[in-house]
Amino acid sequence: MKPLNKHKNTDQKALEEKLQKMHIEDLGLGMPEDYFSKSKSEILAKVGIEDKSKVLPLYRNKIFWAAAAAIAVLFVLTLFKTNTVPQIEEIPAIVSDTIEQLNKGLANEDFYQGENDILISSLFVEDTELDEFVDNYMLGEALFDKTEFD
Amino acid sequence: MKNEADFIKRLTNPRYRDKAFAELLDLYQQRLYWHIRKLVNTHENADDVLQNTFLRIYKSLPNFKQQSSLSTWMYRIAHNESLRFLENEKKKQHASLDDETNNYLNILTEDIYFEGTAVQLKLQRVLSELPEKQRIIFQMKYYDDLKFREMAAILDAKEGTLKSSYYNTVKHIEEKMLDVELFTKTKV
Repeated sequence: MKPLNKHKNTDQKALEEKLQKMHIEDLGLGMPEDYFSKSKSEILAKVGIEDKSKVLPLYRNKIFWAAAAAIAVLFVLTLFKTNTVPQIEEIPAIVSDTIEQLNKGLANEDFYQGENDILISSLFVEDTELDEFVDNYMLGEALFDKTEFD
Repeated sequence: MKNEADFIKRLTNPRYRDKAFAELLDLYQQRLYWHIRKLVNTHENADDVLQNTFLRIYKSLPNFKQQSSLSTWMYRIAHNESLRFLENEKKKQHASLDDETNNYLNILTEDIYFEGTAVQLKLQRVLSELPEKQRIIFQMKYYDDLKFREMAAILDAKEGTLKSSYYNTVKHIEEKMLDVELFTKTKV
């Protein structure tokens, strides 16, 4: 045990050795081997974690959570929509009308085909001959309808 | 410490902070550990408190106003962390003030890192019988090698009171330990 008077600091290492010797020899206080270097590493690691945690945590960011919730809802809705076959009465009127028209079109495919042919052909007719072309078409159609009717 | 002002600047500058903090650990880790260890008694507790102390120091460095030396400021944090830890432990154990002496010795001797001989145990018993404040003053002066001025700042007490308490304690311990050969050989 050191005398009960002041002891002077020398340098850092000497001081630490002195402190360690006094605590171990006088007070019987031991510690695990290599404790200080391990403890230093742990503290530095914790400080690193503390430093990173200064970034605003997600749970505090209301905008982030609102956006996340909206995305989740959209995702769920998308899944439901793709897995459900809609009933005709659930479809908006404008959509159902279009479907009806398309179905009709498919049934009168020949009519539409003929109409398309005359429209395409008219593109290649000179302006001066257009009246004659239309007259011929109308006459042809009238004869066709009459034959069909007969 | 040489150029303490420069060192503090490095500690508070984000560019140099991490390296400077590692140096700070090298300089003060052991000193603070021993100060804490004597207050909280076991190695495990001291390890916890030491880590909390350095985390607090790291967080508080930007607010360090340099009204005292860096060393004093850090000791103060370590001291307060230790007292806070002891208060929490007391609350957990519902310990009364009457069994403080027994608690001190029990906790100490139950620590697997207490390797005390008969002489050391006797000294610990003498210390444990002292009022807490008196014991802390003695330990800070005798074992931590702190100046009375520094102790006054850490404990928020008057230097004169600390000196008086310390010398009375020394006298008391000398009397109690007279029969211990090791102690009488080295006493003043």
